[in-house]
Formats: sequence, C-alpha cells, structure tokens
Amino acid sequence: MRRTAAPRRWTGHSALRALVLAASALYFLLPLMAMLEFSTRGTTGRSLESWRAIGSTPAMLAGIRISLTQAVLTTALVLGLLVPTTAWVHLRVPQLRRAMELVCLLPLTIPAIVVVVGIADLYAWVTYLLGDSPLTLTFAYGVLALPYAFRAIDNGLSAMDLRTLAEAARSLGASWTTVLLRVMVPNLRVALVSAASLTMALVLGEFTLASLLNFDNLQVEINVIGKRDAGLSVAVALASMIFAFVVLFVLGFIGRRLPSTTSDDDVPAAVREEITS
Amino acid sequence: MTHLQMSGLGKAFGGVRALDSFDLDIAAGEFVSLLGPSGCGKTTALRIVAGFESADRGRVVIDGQDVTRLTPDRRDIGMVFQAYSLFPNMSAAGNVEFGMRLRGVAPRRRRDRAGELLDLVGLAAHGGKYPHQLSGGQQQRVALARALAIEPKILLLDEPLSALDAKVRVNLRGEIRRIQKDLGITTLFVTHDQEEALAISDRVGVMSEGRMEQLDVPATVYREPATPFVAQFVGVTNALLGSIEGSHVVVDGSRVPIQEARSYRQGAKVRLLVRPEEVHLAEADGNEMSAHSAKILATVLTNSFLGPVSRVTVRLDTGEGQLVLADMPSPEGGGFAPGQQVLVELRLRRPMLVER
Ligand SMILES: Nc1ncnc2c1ncn2[C@@H]1O[C@H](COP(=O)(O)OP(=O)(O)O)[C@@H](O)[C@H]1O
Ligand SMILES: [Mg+2]
Repeated sequence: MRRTAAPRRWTGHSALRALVLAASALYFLLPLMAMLEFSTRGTTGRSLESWRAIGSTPAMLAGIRISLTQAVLTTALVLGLLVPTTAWVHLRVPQLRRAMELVCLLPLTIPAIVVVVGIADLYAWVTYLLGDSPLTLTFAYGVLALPYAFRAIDNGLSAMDLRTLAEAARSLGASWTTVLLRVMVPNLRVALVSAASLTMALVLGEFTLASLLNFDNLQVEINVIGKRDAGLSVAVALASMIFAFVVLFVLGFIGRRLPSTTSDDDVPAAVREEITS
Repeated sequence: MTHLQMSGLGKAFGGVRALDSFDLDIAAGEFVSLLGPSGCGKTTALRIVAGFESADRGRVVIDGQDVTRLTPDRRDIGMVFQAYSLFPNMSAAGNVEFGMRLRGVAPRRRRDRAGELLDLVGLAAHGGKYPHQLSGGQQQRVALARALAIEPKILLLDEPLSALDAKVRVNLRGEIRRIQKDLGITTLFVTHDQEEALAISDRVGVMSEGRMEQLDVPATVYREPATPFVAQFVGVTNALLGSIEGSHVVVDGSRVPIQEARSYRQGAKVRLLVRPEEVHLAEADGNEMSAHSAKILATVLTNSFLGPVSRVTVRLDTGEGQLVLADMPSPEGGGFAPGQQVLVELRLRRPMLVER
C-alpha cells in the first residue's frame, strides 16, 4: 500500500520540479541561446567568424587575461585578509564581530559611482606608487567583494566550535599558523569555496569601476569592441559567462569533495600559498 | 612521571574573581579531581595550567620548571574538553596522529601508535571513522587517545563526561582511571559531579568561589569535611536549625550535646550539619520523652529503597516541623512506613555547626 502510494506522490513532486526547472532553464538559457545565435550569424548561414576573431583581437585577449588575473588576485587578497582576521575576531574579540560585519557590508550600500568618486583620488596615489597596471584594481575589487566573502567566511566560522578546536590543536603543539592552515581552513572549505566563487564572479563581471577609473578589463573591452564588432563582443561575453560557470562548477566540486584523512591536502594550494606568504 | 604545582594563582574577569590564591600540588602519577559547583573556577584553574588563560598572580610549575609564561603549544599538556573537540575533517586515527605529526613522528610509527592508543580506549576498529560517525562517548574516547598520543607530562580533563548518558559516563570514568593508572600519568580532572570525583580520584579538591576549601582523599573529604561548604556540597546533608545552649545545640526542644557549641555565644542561631547515615530512627513507644533526651519525636513522611539503605524522610513533630533525611540500613530500614511515629537520634561522628 505504502509502496504504491509513495512513488505516486513522488511523481507529482517530480512533475512540479521538472516544470520549475524547465521554466528557469528557459529564462536563463534563452538569452544565452540568443547570444549564441547572434554571435554565429554569418553573411550566409552560420559562421564561427566572430568566435575565431577572439583569438585574433589582441585587445580582447588582453582584456580576458587582465580580468582573469584580477579575479585570482582579488580572491587571494580577500581570503588572505578575511580568513585570519575573521578567525581572530571570532576567537579573541567576539564583541567586535558586529562592527566588523558592519564595515564589511558597507560596500553593498554605497553605489559604485560614489565609490569611484571617493576612490579616484586614492587611485592617483596607487598609480603613483604601483604604476598604472589594471591589476591595481585588485584593491578596489577586494573592497567590493568584502560583503559576500565576509558573509560566507563568517557563517563557516560560526558553524564550528572554533575556540575548542583551536585550543585542542594548540595543546597538541600547533602554532597559530598551523591552527589556521590545518584546522580552520580544511573545515572552512565550503565557506572558502563560496567566498572564492562569489569574488571571482564579481570580478569577471565588473565594468563600472574599471571603466570610470579608465582601466581596461574584459567587460570594458567587450563594451568598446561591441561598438565596432557586435558579433565579436557577444561571442566574448558568452564565452566569459561559460567560463565563469565552469570556474564555479569546478570550485563547487572541490568544495563538495569528501574530507580526507590527511589534513595537508585539505588545504587548497592557492589558499595555502596566500596565507603563508 | 610529572609533578605539578600551582601556587597562589589568582585570576579575575572584570569584577568576577574566578580564582583567588589558589594552591594545588599534584604528585607524580597522581589523579586529583577538582570538584565544585558551576562557576567556582574549576575550568579557569585548568585553563591556566594548559596556558589558555594567563594568571593575574601566581605560578604554575611542572617538574620544577616554571611554565607560567609558556604558550600552550610548548607545554606538552594533554587536554580533553567538555565540548566535543575532534577535528571534523580528520578520521579518528587522523585526530590521534595530529599531535605526533606536528612533532615529526614518522608516518609508520605514527600509525602504529595511533592504533595502539585507539585500542587502549576500546576503539581499535573505528580508526577510519569521522567524528560525525561516532557517538559522544566514542568521540571523547578518541579525544582522550589524541591527548595521550603526545605523551603529555600532564593530562587535564575538563568535565569530559558531562555531555554523556549516565551509563556511558560511569563506564568511561572507570576506563579513564584504569588508563591513567596503567600509564601513571599525572592527571587533573574537573567535575561538578561529586560521585564521579569520589569514585575515581586519589585526592579530591573541593572548590568554592575560586578557592580551595579542602583537598584530601575521597573518604576523608566525605567523612570529615573541613568546612561547612564541603559538608553541604559533598554528600547529602541535613542542615538542622537550632540554637546554642551551653555545650548543647537545642534542636526543636531537644538538647544535642556538642563540644563545639561552647565556642559560640549563648543563644546563637546555628545550623547543625548531619549526614543521613548519622540519623538513627527507632520506633516510638511513648516512654523516652524527657526534656534532656537527645531524641526527637518525628513522623515518617516517605521511605525510598536505595539498595543498601532505605532513605526515610521524617518531619520533626515539635518546633518548625523541619524535614530530616535518615539512611537506615536494609532490611530494617524498610520497616518505617509513612505516618508512623519515630524517635530521631543523632549519632554524630563529626558535628559541624554553621552560624545562620
Ligand atoms: N572568559 C571569561 N570571561 C568572563 N568571565 C569568565 C570567563 N571565564 C570564566 N569566567 C567567570 O569566572 C568564573 C569561574 O568560571 P569557570 O572557571 O568556568 O567555572 P567552572 O568551570 O567551575 O564552572 C565564573 O563566574 C565565570 O562566569
Ligand atoms: Mg567549567
């Protein structure tokens, strides 16, 4: 009796689920398919002309390279700063947690255009000291990514008995660095992956700051080239989106991997390097 | 085998004095329990020994070496916490190996040793399991194995059993004691459970408000409490209201001869601390009544069978109708029925008075 009843309920659920899934897939995929259609339009029939042009447009390649580097640097900067700081606040000065949260959430409430006005003067100095590489945007992006990264890491730290774990490790002979790398980071993996994903997605899609501060990155190039060659710009936009999906998927896969016995390989190499350097 | 000395330890949190001139000297290989109500400073004492908290005053000396200023990672102290503290990302064996790995023990040796230790705590077959796959009792066993793996000079246990079921608790405390004896490791054990402390310790230190009230072998702490606090905290105690009359305490009209009464002023109001096993009940036959008798007429309220004794609650018939607990040996103790009139006699071994 129960055996026959259960699957029927399941089918009802599944149908609803499939419907919702299909609707959202349509909503997300339709524009992407339109982009694909547009970027493969030739003078006669389909053509991969625009896609091939990516490889032969140096400005576009540069934009891609810059944005990728920015994404990696920003992620490293944000995780490297936030993980030890948030952990320290949780462990030693929990009464400052609210204040830290407030500061980290500020960038959400300030419109990008206002940030630019405030940050422009500062960037005169950054340019003076570090040169005018677009990679210096890493600092600004680090600030923009704070709200998302903080939330993820803060949640991750709150979910474990950080103090007891840290003290257990300390009594077993661990230095603070070891506590951070072998106890906190491995148990924060899911949080770190989501912080990293959000940061990367944010940087890869960033246009306003770069454009207003006169730096070239992927989105700026897409915009510039789009005015000249719409097909190429749409192809790159689509490619960058697919790329971002792949990055998020890979990171998500790392995050969901089952924990292993040894703690050493629990630390993503990038994170370990960042934190020790 | 290590000798642990704590002398003159003081620690305040804001206005709260968590520890106050706290002294404790633990001999090599000895098992000492700190017993006291919640908030009396037991954990603080332990955390100062481990180095997680710095003392405002006083010193911690391990085998003649002053470690007061040493960080926790340099003290070689094994600690088992009240909260579950296994690293969630490591298997049971991984947890046990953690300290050895930090000390650069070779992988093969590390694995062998972890296996031995897991065997010692009865979890030989569970090395590959992760903390979330283990029960609370098993997790605390692994935590014990992990603490022992670094061959610590001192073992500290902060209410490691308090989150466990009664049965598991009793089993595990016995095992902790067995392992401690086998290894001869100097151990400081914290609990608020007097039975636990009395059952497994070489000596018990009873604490109150950051101070050591009494430190002695369990039997002495129980039979000869040094202070009224100890008398009332350890074991079950009747605190009978009375007043001083010469060398007697008058409890509800009956005069109980007590030498110590002389040191109180005449008429002073006191509480007389009496263990249930010091209260003797006899059937009342109506003849014993006399003003100078130490016996008090009372009525039985309840009688519960506790195995070796029956705990009888009686209400004194005169005065304020105080309740008194009496432990009468089985099987005679079972004979007292609710409503029955009895004579209460105090057969005091070690009378103790508290002024009220
Ligand atoms: N980190 C702390 N901050 C403020 N007060 C504390 C802290 N640790 C302990 N205390 C206070 O010190 C006293 C002793 O605490 P504790 O040593 O934990 O007692 P116990 O372990 O005997 O229950 C308590 O009043 C407690 O509130
Ligand atoms: Mg405590």
